[in-house]
Amino acid sequence: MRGLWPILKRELLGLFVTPIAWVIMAAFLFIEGLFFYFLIMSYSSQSDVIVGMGPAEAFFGQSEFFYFPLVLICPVLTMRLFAEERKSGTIEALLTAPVTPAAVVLGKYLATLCVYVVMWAPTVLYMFILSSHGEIDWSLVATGYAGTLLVGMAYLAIGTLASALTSSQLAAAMGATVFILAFFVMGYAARGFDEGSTRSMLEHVAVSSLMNDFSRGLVDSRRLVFWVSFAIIPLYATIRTVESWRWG
Amino acid sequence: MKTKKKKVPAAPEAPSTNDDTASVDTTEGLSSAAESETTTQAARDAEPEAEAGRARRRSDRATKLAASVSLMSVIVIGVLLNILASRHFKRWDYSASGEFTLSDGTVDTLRGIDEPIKLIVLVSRETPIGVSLEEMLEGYRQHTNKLEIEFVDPDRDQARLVELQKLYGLLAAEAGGHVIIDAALIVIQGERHRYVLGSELVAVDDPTDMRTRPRLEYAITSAIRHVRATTPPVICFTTGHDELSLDKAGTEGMAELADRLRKNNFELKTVFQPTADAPADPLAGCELLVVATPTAPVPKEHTLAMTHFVEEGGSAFVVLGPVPNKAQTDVMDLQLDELLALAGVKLEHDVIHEYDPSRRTRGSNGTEFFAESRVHPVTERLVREEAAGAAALVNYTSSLTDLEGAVKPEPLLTTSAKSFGIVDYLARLPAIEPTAVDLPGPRTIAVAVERPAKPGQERGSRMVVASSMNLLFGANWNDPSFRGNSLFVEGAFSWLASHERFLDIPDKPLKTTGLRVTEDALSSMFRYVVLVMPVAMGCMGIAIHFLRRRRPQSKRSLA
Repeated sequence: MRGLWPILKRELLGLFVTPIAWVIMAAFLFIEGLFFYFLIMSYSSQSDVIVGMGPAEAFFGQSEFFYFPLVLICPVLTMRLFAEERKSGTIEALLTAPVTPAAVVLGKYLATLCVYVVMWAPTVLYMFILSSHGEIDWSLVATGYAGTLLVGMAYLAIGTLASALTSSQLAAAMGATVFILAFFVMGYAARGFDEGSTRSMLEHVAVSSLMNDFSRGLVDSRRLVFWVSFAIIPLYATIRTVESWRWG
Repeated sequence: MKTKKKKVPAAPEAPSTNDDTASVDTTEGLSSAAESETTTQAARDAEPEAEAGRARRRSDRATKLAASVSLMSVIVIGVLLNILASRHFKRWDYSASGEFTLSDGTVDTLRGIDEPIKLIVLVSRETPIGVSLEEMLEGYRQHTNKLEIEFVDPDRDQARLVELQKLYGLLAAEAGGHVIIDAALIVIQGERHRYVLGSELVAVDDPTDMRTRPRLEYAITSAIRHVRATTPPVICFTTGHDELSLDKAGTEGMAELADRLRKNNFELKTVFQPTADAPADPLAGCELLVVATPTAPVPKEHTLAMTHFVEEGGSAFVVLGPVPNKAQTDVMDLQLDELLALAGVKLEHDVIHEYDPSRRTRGSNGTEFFAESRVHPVTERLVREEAAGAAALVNYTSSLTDLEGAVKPEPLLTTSAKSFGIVDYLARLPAIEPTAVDLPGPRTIAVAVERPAKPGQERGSRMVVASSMNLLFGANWNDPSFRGNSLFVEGAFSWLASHERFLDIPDKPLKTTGLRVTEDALSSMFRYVVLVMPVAMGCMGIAIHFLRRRRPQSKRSLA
């Protein structure tokens, strides 16, 4: 996959030397910080123990505060990947360079994934704060972050595809948000169905199923398969899309 | 990788012949021949180009088709993989406590299920304990396909809840806008079922340290084992001594208790019925004997049979109280002293009067009062719910005096230090004032004892003795103000009828499920996580932005 590394470097520099990534990260940390603070308030104001779940588990996916930033931030991170280059015309230069479409797509995608990881990295401090006020199961923290990474991989892949399908950044962000939101709503819709195949299917695609498992230290092969394929398929479609631009 | 397809230059148009025609109009024939030759030549030249164009278009179409097919294939493979994964899945539990890792005992139990078992979870899936139950039951499903699981949200599925209440005698109440059910789970197989209480799902060793010990697996597997047990425990109720009737419904009947016991999969039987063909051993087959408020003297042979039953390892629940004799002059001797002696107690011929105004009820003259509960497995739930106002409300009780023998009875219910056991109560009516002959408080009115095990027995017989008849009244299960009584009686039955077989599920380690944070710590947390961290990130972005603006344009090449 020739050209992956230079593209990754170029994208990372492009993201980190402009204020956009920092603004996104600041906004993200504000929302997550607020969520964490409310969580601690909730746990400390309980006169009795909260049966079935500790605060570390609750942080990962037991509130809409966890999903809300992801639904909005992932499309914003990815919206400029191809849409901006197509609008400014720099995509022509990239396409004529000796790099494969796969390298172009993966280079850009991995750059946003790096930003995503950097975005979450400061939240490890929250876990240290928790550990200073009680015991914490670091295995649960690790699987919680693994689940978060899987969600990010999938959402960013959707965003990358949306960016490749349009030359408007806004349209790319909107498209990705709507798609991600649709999957998110499907998870909620599952609650409205009785036990059966429809419910199972909706639960299979629900992000809450993934985070409920991973936040409790459970790694389920079904979740792994779904979320990895949810990341791979849009990426493959993006590679094909970029390839099609070379056909003229 | 080099570009796969280079743009092929457009095929050159056939050269225009208009100018040539104008210049050579005098030599029309020649020009016509030349034109014809030129056209033929152009046609000859254009033919391979057109062919190349067609080939290129064919190739493009083929490439696009291949790309579409490969994309569709990837999607189809992805969908198929997910279908396969949903049918054959594996889960790994990485939690330090192994909370969702099933023990061998549970796996054996699940693999041994031959008839379908239905589990009705009466907890919302959206609550933390609901999610944990769902995760745990998902693990159970991995080992058997005989489990049918139904989640009923008590707040949303009201109709289903009412149906279940009628079927299984569930108690429901509303608190804080939520419906609270006494059972968290019902395990059903055929006609048998078992409740799992919410309190059984988690153990709290010390309520002050904000840590809990998960017991989901133990509670669920125990219930499954219980409904699969082939022979339900038999409880024998004594009759023939003017006891409360098992069939009598209403406030002072035992029909409510009988119904509750049957719904908990106990088999009920009455013994000592005055029939011509009385069996030689009336208590054969009984696992638990209930002496349910006799109000007539018990014949010697019956007392002997009961004593023998307990001595041989049977358990007994004795509920009795002061009964006036026929002349209404004294309390009747029920002739159960030998049986009570096995519990290490003696029933005094007194009637307890409670003088503590915080315990006696209004207008009862001190004979009806709230008893103090002592910590014991029997009173576990009662003690836990005392904070919510539950207490055993007793009426016309007598003292149970410790015989100070080898058997050490543990008090379950006591009176206050201000109470008195009034002797010669009936003779002194109506004016009751404590005197020096009366028994000073605190008095014991219910005890539990586990007798030493005989050789070959895993544990000795158990006895619970209570000296208030109203503990068995049906009102305890109908009127919420008597909830303390129902908790006491149910606790007594649970403790007395416990089975020998125990699930070998090791205790899970304690995990933090609550936090104790000072206000100072909370404020500093707010500063760090809500203000300092995001602001630091924002400042970093601003700094980078200004640094870039200061650098010369030429150096900003890469970005």
